[in-house]
Amino acid sequence: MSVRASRAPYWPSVRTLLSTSTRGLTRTGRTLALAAIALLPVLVAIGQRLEGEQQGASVYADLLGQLMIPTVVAFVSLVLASSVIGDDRDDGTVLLLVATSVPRSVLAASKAAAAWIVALLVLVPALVVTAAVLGQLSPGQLAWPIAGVALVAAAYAGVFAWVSLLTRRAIIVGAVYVLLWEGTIATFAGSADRLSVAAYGRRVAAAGVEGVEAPATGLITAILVLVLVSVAGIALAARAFRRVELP
Amino acid sequence: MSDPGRSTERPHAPIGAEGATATLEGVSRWFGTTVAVADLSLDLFPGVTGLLGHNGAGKTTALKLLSGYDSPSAGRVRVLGVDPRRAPAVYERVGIAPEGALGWSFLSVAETVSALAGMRGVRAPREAAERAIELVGLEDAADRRVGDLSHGMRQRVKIAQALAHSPELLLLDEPLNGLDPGQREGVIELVTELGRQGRTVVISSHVLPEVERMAARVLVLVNGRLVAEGAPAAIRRLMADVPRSVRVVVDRSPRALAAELVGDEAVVSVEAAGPDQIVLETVDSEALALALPGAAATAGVVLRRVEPVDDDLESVYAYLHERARGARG
Repeated sequence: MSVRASRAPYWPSVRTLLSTSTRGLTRTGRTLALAAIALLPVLVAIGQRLEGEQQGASVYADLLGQLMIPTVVAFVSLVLASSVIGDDRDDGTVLLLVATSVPRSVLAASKAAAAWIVALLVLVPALVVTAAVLGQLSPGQLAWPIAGVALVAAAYAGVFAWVSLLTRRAIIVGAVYVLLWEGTIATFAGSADRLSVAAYGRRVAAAGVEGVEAPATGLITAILVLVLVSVAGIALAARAFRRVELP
Repeated sequence: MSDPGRSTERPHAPIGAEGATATLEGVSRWFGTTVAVADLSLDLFPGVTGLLGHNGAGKTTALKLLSGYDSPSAGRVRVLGVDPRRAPAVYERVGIAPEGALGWSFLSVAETVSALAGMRGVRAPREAAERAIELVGLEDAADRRVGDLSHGMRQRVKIAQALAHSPELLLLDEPLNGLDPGQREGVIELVTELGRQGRTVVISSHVLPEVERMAARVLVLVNGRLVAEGAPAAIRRLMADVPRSVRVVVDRSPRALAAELVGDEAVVSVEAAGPDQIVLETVDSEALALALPGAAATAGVVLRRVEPVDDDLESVYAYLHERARGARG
C-alpha cells in the first residue's frame, strides 16, 4: 500500500508540531505575561517622551542595546523555548511525540521554530511601537533591529529547547544566565562581548541604528554566529531526544 | 482490525533470533545506587505477554527501555531488529500507550489520534483515527477535548492512538488502570483479539487475574529481575505454592482445634494467637479449606472467621524472588 505522497514526507508532521506547539504556548496566561514584559521598552519610551526627551534616536539605541535585546528578547525567548518542550515533558505528551517516526532533528527544529514564532509575535510589535513612539520608523531603523531580535530569539530558541531536555529547571537556569550574564556583565563589560548571544544581536541592530553598543565584529560574522548557535542548539536537542531519559 | 494505510517506508531489519519481535539482552538500568532492572533478558513473541510485578518491580522501566524512552546502563535493546532510540522509523510498526501521558489537552480525541497517526506514517490519518476510536468505544466522545475527559476515557484515547497505525508490536503500560468494569471488559476483549491477530502485545500489570485473562504468557519481575516465566496457569500454581499464614477465629478452645490440625498434611505449623484464635501456616490453601470444617467438628468448636495474614501480592512476589535466588544459588 503506497502512502507517502511527496518527497518531503515530514511536512505534515512539521505542520502538526508547529500548530500544536504554538497553540500550547499561546493558550496559557504565560504568553500574556511575556507580552507585558515585552512592553517595558514601550513604557520607557513613552516615559521619555512625556519628560520631553528630544533625542529619540539615542533613546532608541539605548533601549535596543541595553534593555530590549539583552534582557527582554533573551527572557521572552528562553521562557518560550523552555516551555515548548518542558510543558510536554511535564504532562507526558513528549512520550507520544517521541513514539513517532519523525526524525529527532525535525522534532527539535519544529519545537524551536514554534517557540521562535511565538516569541516574534510578542517581541516585534513591541519593538515597532517603541520605534514609533520615539519617531524612529525608517526602514533601516526597523528592519535591522527586527533582524537582530529575530536572530537572537532563534539562538535562544535552539539553545533552550536543548536545555529543557536536560533539566526541568531550564527557565531558572536561563533567567540566572540572562540576568547575570547577558543583562549585566556582557552588556556593560566590553571584553565579554564575544561570549554573549545578545552582543551579536546588538551588532545586527547597530547596522540600522546608530549608537547601539555592539562588539567590533563584522555584520556577517554576527549573523553567522547567531545562526550557528541556533543550529547547534537544535542539533543538541535532537541528540538529547535520543539520549536522555524521558519521564 | 483492518490496516489503516500504513507506510510502506519502514525498516526492514530482520526480526531477532528465534522469531522474537523484541528482545532485551542482559539489560540493566540503574539510577545512582538504585537498580531498576538487573541483567534482564527476555524475548517477546507474537501474542499477548503479561509483564507482572509489584509496584517498583521494574515493569515500567522495562517497558520504557522497549519503548525507546530510556537507554540501558548495560545490555542491548532490540525492537523489530533495531535500537528504537536510533531508528525512529520503527515507531511506524510500534504502538505505545505509556503510563501518565496525556496528549494535547486542547485537541479533540479525533484530532489527537489523527495527528499522531499522521506522524507515524499513516496516509489517511483521519480514517485510521476513526477506526481506532471506534475500537476503544469512544465514538461519542470523538469531538470532545482530551482535557475534558475522565481518567478512564483518556486511558482509552491512549490505547486508540497506540492502535491507529495498526502496529505489529503494542506496549501497553497498565492499560486497565482507571477503567470501570465495563470498559475493562472492552479493553480485555480488544487486547485478546489483537493477540489472536498475531500482533505482539505486551501489557504490564500487578494483578494476575487481569493479566491471565489476556495473556498466553506471563513474565514475573521482582526487584528488577525476571523470577518466573510461563503460562498463566503455571504462574498461578507457583503462587499457590507460596506458604501462607492463615488466622482462624473460633468460639472457644482454639488449642483443641490446633491439636486436631497439627498432623494435617496441609499444615506446616500452628500457634496460639489469643484466647479465641490460632495462626497456622500452609502451603496448600485448598487442602486446608477442605480440612478445617472436619477438624473443627472433631474438636467441638465453631469456626467464626478464617482469614489470610499478610496475603498481599508483594509477599507472594518476595517469595518468588527468594525462590529464584535459591534456584540460582
